Amino acid sequence: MTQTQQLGPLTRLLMNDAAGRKVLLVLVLMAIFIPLSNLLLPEGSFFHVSTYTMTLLGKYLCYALLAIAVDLIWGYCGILSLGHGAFFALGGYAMGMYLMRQIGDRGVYGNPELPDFMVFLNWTELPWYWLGFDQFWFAMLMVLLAPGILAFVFGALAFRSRVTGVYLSIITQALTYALLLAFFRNDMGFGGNNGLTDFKDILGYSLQSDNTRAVLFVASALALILGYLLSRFIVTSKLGRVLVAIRDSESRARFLGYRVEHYKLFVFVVSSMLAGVAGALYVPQVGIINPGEFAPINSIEIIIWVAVGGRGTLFGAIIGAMLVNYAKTYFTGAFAELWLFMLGGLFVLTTLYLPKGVVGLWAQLKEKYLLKKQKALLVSPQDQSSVATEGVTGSEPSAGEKA
Amino acid sequence: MSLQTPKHIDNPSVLYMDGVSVSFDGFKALNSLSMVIAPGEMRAIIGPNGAGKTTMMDVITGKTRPDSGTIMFTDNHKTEHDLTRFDEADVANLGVGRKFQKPSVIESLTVFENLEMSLKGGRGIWQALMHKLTAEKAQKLDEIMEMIDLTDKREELAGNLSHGQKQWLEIGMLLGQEPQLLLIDEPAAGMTDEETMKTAELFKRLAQKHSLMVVEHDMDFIEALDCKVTVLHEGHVLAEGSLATVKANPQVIEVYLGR
Amino acid sequence: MINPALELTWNRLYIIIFSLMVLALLALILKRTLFGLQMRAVTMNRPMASSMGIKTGWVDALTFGLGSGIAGIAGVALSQLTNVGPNLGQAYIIDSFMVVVFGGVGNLWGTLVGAMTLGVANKIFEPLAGAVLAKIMVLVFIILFIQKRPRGLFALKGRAVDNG
Repeated sequence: MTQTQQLGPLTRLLMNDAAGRKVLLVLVLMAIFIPLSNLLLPEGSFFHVSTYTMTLLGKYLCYALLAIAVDLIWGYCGILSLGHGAFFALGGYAMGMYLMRQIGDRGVYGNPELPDFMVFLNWTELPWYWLGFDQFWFAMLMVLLAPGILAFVFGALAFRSRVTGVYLSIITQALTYALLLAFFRNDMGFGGNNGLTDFKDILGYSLQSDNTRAVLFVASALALILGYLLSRFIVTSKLGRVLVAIRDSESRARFLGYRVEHYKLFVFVVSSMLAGVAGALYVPQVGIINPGEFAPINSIEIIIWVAVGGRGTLFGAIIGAMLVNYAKTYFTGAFAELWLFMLGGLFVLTTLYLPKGVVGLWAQLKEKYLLKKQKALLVSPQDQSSVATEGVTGSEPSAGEKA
Repeated sequence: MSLQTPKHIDNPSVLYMDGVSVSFDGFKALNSLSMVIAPGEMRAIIGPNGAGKTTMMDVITGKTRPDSGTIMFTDNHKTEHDLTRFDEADVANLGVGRKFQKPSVIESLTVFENLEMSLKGGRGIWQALMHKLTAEKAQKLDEIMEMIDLTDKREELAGNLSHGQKQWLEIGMLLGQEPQLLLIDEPAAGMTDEETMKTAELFKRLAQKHSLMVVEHDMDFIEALDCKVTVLHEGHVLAEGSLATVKANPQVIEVYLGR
Repeated sequence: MINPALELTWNRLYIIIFSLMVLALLALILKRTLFGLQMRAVTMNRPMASSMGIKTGWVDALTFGLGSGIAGIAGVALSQLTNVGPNLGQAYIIDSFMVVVFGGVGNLWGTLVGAMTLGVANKIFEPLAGAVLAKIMVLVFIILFIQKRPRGLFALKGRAVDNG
């Protein structure tokens, strides 16, 4: 603990995080080699990664960032948000609005100012809230601010009045549902049912080109890595320990003099912004954003990714998001009829047999192995205590049973 | 040492409660409760279950708002604060520490981390994010761990401690907060006789610098504290005085001791 | 059918009576039977209930079964009003959550009042603002309402509740 202070910032973040280091290493390697192999290797080569695969993986990276955002508040602070899809979608819409403005006069109606759907609705001028979205920097600012401000207002109200537990979960669900209904309306000015699509280019580069796709992939990987490091920075600081205190015993944290509502609000806003960034990177890769992203079921799915990976570990969220989405893609392709059942089965099995997620499974196996080794040592009793303590170290504060 | 009541106006009080009433759905948990705690005083509170002991602590620490009455707290700088206007975090930061009936430590943090969190100051978000452990604070933590006998459990998760050790850790966390007034709810519960006596000794040492209000059922423990005793019954003060006087009070015998 | 302004088909009338009967029966189960007592005990203090010999796992399972059964009955009633399909229940997930949160978790009266209030409010706003906007308004209202009453309309009060 005390030696930590002298070390560099990155060391502090990753010192007691062996698994996290490995996950980051894999991400860095992915960020380097996948785009290279896509761009440089010929199509027939064994090591060639198709643009389709790269884009798919890029999508997973965005989901992983979203999962980290949820793990940060749920795993560490005990806030079970069932509405995080809303922040993701808002980030996505902010990016989508920029991409719509980029189309310019190349739309079906050829209107240089108005996106096609507005022309179709006989609108004559751009609504005020679309102004500025032709500037990339402004759109990026909104990617952070739109979810951030919503989270701030919503969180300030909810946390100040001490809405907790199931009540909080359900009103976050109501939040995303209300937004879903609102964005479905044509007169909201966000493309209604169809959402925003038919994007042409980003910063002047065609979205169809492999080069742009590769850059987007690298950007997603970078965002994920930075998001992970930021979250690590938060959870390894004293603030992170206050969050754990709030999760385990909110009243204790209060009686120690910590303003619980401020801490919750802070981490909720940071988390919503991470989700917004994930959404913003997601949209140009899938080429569309529509109100379906606000669907309550999406937000619930994020919780499942985190639970499958292992709550309260951050890297577990990455693994969970990747794994579940890979399984989803695989099942949809291989057993188109059955994939929902398979996915459902996967969730039931993980909750029944892996209460600490896939990451927990690894620790369980390791413990079993060490126990075996310890038993072997008992025959020739040497130094059992060191083995026994080794078994406990290395695991992060595991998710409390209290949800 | 502190058996005399602070009667004179020039005799300052740490805590001054007058006519405090609280009711839940018609049930009067506190009924015009009045009490004064002097600086450096140790006070034991006894009373049958439902007498309002925990509600009284809730009201002082800002968890429950009283329906009526005054609660004034005087901090180290002789400034008076109306505690009914503040919430838990504010009251804690003014200098009132509280230990719960059930040991409430952060189970998934280590002993060290629990204590580090309790240390006075740095309650803001930014301070917490940028927090660094100074040598001075580290030394203070070592002293506290020494005092509560948990030095060798430093890196142990608080959840793995025994019941008595958790009680001690929570007392240690109170010390880290450096409060003027400590509210302590049944500290001896779940402790061995030896631990109980050690706790009594510790409290007596603390009473030299802090004011303490101790709720307890264990009569031996109260005997060992050797301080003024207040008997609560149905939300108000039934009797006050030394343990011997209180024990001899016929009303007290009727509602509590003689049952 | 009753008068020109208020029209009520027999179907709907039966459903109202039927629902009230189910509610009464449920209240009876909760208040008057051993199972109801055990259920409430487990909700309030699981470790204590368990140490008094109540098989909490079984109570959980039976309660879940009871809840599922009542949801099924609701489905039967609903089948008289709309088309039946595998997605019949989906539209009601959010609404039912809202009703419970509005009324207060663990309170049958709250649920009844919550359901009536939200349903009627929805129908009042509908002609004024359109179905979708009415729904949004109700949702926003609940989000704001919860700030004022973090534990619903009929919240349990007292010390024990906070410790849960």
